[in-house]
This record gives sequence, structure tokens and C-alpha cells, in this order.
Amino acid sequence: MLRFLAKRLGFMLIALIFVSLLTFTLMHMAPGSFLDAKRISSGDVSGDEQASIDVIAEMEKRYGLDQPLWKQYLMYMEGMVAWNMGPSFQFPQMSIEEIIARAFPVSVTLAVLSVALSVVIAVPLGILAAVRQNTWWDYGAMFLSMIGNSIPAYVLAVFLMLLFSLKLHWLPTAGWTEPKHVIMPVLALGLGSVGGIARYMRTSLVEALRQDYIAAAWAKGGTFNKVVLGHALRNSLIPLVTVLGPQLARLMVGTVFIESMFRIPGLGQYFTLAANTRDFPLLMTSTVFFAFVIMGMNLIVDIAYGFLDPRIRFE
Amino acid sequence: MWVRAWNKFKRNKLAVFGAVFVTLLMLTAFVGPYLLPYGYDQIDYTAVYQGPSVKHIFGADELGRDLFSRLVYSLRTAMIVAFGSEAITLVAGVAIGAIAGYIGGRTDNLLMRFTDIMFAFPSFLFNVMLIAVMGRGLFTIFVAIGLTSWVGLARLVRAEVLKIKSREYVEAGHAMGASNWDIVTRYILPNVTGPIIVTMSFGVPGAMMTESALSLIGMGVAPPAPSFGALITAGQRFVLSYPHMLLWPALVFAFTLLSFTWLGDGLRDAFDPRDN
Repeated sequence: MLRFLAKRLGFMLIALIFVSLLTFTLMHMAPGSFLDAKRISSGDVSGDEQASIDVIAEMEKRYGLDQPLWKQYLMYMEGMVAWNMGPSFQFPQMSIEEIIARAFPVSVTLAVLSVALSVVIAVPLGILAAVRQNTWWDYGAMFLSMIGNSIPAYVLAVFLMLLFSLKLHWLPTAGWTEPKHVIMPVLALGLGSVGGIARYMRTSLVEALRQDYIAAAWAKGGTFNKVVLGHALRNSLIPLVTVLGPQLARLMVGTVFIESMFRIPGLGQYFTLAANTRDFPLLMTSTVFFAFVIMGMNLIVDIAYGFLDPRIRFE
Repeated sequence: MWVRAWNKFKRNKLAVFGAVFVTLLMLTAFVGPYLLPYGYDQIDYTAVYQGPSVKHIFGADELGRDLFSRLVYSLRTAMIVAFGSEAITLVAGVAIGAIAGYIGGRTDNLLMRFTDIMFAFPSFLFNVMLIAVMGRGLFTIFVAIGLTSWVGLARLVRAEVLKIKSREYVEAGHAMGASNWDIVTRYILPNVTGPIIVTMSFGVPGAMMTESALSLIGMGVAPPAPSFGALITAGQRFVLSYPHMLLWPALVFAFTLLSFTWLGDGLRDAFDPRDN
């Protein structure tokens, strides 16, 4: 167990260093920088050449851009490890850790609510599909899963918007100030995963129902509640944990677009903004942070799986 | 293998539907632009915000551009990006997977660790950064998507090559003095064609989703060139007053993705060696 954990953590560390190096390299290969834009605009406003040069020099010094590249990289890394990353270009009054602390909970809320929603719908649906194999319940669940897999959340969001905002006038089209705003984004993100989870639930329950101990339970005169919900379901829920990990990771990325569609001030929104404005400090940290969250989630799922199913050995 | 797969495919109604629609969509995307009465950036001042009419069958947008033309061009963009990126995926995935699987040992270890890291790196973040570096254009977008989507294929090819390379007929090939290149390209890879085709057929709608997602957040093809994502973003701004601007792009895009998925599902079942 400890060896497994150490190995996985080591791999995660290497992967994160790779991600950060790649991000840093790509950022510096990108044509144009935030300061270029600043240079042009400040030159335009004051018309005073020297003043704008001074401003730029001041900024370069403040952000450490006058240092050699390897030093800049180490600076970023040190900042990230120490959770003290300084201000971003875009929001000079706010430090990046403040931005993350403010935006990340928003994204997490979205993702967690969506997963909860999809599990609540998908598990009963999967059970129905497994118990009533090859009936309309089954086909319906499979059809949903195909739709959910092939249509991305932001297209689903469009149809929800047309229904709830345009036709029914129930919900606002965008924003993040009142509870009403949460409904559509969560539906858009959550409904997409219902099919996949239901399908998985079905397969794993069908598998469990074929086991000998289930036949024995039926033979002893067990009721539906006892045999299916008591014996089979318990074992078939374990593999479900494995899909939830990738599902959560998919959701974290999915939130980027949903946040941009519904104007939700989550981490995805800041990442997009940072990429569009060449806000290097913010881009670097949000990328590494995203990668960290996704890898961390996968690790937690793997560990949880090992605990739930003693047949799995940590290697 | 091909005959059996084809026979199975033919019997799958949804898959045949998918194949027919995909063919129609491809014709629309590549021949359609030459037959359209309006260009994608042609402005008709009398039609601004207009709903569907005889002149503009899907209506027009906020500048009076014909929505149908813009959708056909979006489809073209999506197809070019999807096929372009799949071509890169194919070359990179097969090469890396085959080399790792065939040579094995340290090379395999190194390549697979690299693949693991790429797998762990959220590919969307990578796409966004690549495009930030290379600029927004059709070419850069499919290169960016191609560079991030070969991982799955590489793993699959490696696993298949590992399985096949110890078969007797491969040994016979060695004994007859076939070169390594011949062994890989003529003995092993032809047997992996099925799984490769299946993976690629799911890769196409995947790449289309990424492309439109990129333009949704302003990292896609530069305006005025249309893309499903850009049309959806634009339509969303006017959803309460001019819903046709949002409805049509979403419907056409969803339908395109579904057609490719049906085709892919059909191919997967057809090439599945486990059942008949």
C-alpha cells in the first residue's frame, strides 16, 4: 500500500513538473505578451515615451520578467509550492491564490452537484435496465447513454436554454448570483453523464446477478428487495467508483465551457481569460492546478477502489 | 474479416443510417460551399435577425449573413479539423504504439511513460496553449488536436502488437528472413486495422467537439469564418429575441455528432471478434 502510494505520488510529481515545464515553454514561445499590449495602450494614452518605458520597466521588475528564464520558472514553482504566487497581470490588486480560492469552490460546486445529479438519476435507471433486460427501460437507458456520450454539455445547455428560458420563462439565461442560476449548468453537465453511468451500472449489476450466490439467495426464497437491492447491488456499486473518477475529471474540463456559456466566475473562466490575454502567471498556475486536481482525483479513486474491493491489490 | 464485418454492419440499421448521413454530411461540407447562393460572410442588410424564410431557409444573423451558408461552412471547418487531426493521430499513434510494442524493453518503457504523462495531462488545456502559441487558424487547430489525441490509439496499437508479435506466423516470417519493417507493416499491422478503424471513427466526432469547444471560448478559427462553437456563442446572445440563431446550429451540430457516433457504434460491433 505504502509503496503503491509512493510510486503513484512520484509519478504525479514528475507529470506535474512535465506539465509546468511544457506550459512555461509554450507560454514563452507564444507571440505577443501581456506587456506588449500594455506598452501600446500606455503609449497611446500619455504620448510620453519615457513614462511608458518606466511603467513597463516597473512592471517587468514587479513580475520578475527581467530575470533569466530559468529563474522565472523556479520563481513560479516556488510560488506554487509555497502557495504564494503574487499578483496576476490581469488583476494586479488580487493575488493568484486569492483568485483560485475564490473561483475554485465555484467550479467544485458545479462539478459535485452535477455528479450527484447524474448518480441519483443513473443508478436507479441502471438497476431498472439490468432487472428489465431487453425491455423499453433497457433500450431507453442505452439510448440516453449514447446521446450523453455523443453530445457535449454545451450543446445540451443550448437545448435547456431554449426550453427553460425561452419557452417556459422559468430560468435566467446566464449569471451566478442567485440559486436559480445553478439549475441549468448543473443539468447540462450532469445529464450528459447519466447515460454512461447508467450503462456501467447495468453491466455490473447484470454481471452480479449471474453469480452463484445470487441464485442461492433466490433459491432460499429471497424477495426482490433482499436479493437485488441487498446482495447484488452492493457488489455492483463498487466498480461504479472507477467511472466516477474519469467522470469527475471530464466534468472539471466540461465546466470550462459551461462556465463560459453561463458566465459563471469559476476557475475555467479565469483559465480562458488568462489564455486569451496572455496572463502568464495566471495561465501557468491555473494549468498546473487543473492538472493537479485531475491527477489527484484519479489517485483518490484508485485508492478508494482498493479499499472497497479487497480483491484488488495495490501494486 | 472484411466480409464478415461488412455483413454484420449491413444488418445494423442505426449504423447504416449513420453511414448514409455521414456521407451526406461530407458531401454537404465539401461540395456544398460551391452550390450555395450566399457566401458565409456575405451581408444582406434586409435580412438582419430575420427568421427562416424562402430567401434564407434557416434565417440570418445579426449582420444579415445567411445562417444556412454559415452552417455549411461550419460543417466544412469541423470536417477539415476532424480529418486533419485524425490523420496526425493515426500516424503518431500507430508509429509510437508499434515501436513500443515491437521493440519492447527500454524503448517501450520510455515511450509508455511519455504516453502516461500525456494521458495525465488534461488535453484540453494543452490544446488551448498550443493554439495560443501557434495562432488561431484551421491548420493550427487540427495540429493542436492531433498532437493531443494520439495517446489512446498508441496504447491500443501497442497492446495489439504485443499480442500478435508472438504468434506462429510472425515467427515463421522471422524464420524466412523478413525484415523488421516487413514484419511490422505486413504481418502485424494489417491485423490491427479493425480496432484502429473503430478508434478513429470515434475520434472524428471527438475532434469536432474539441474544435467547437475551442471556438466557444474564443480560441477557434478566427472570425468571420464560422464554426459551430462560434455560432452557438453568437446565438446565445440573442436567444430570447431571435432563437433561430441558436436552435439551428445546435441541432445541426448535435445531428452531425450523432451520425458519426452511430457509424462508430456500428463499426465497433462489426469488428468485435467476440460475438457473431
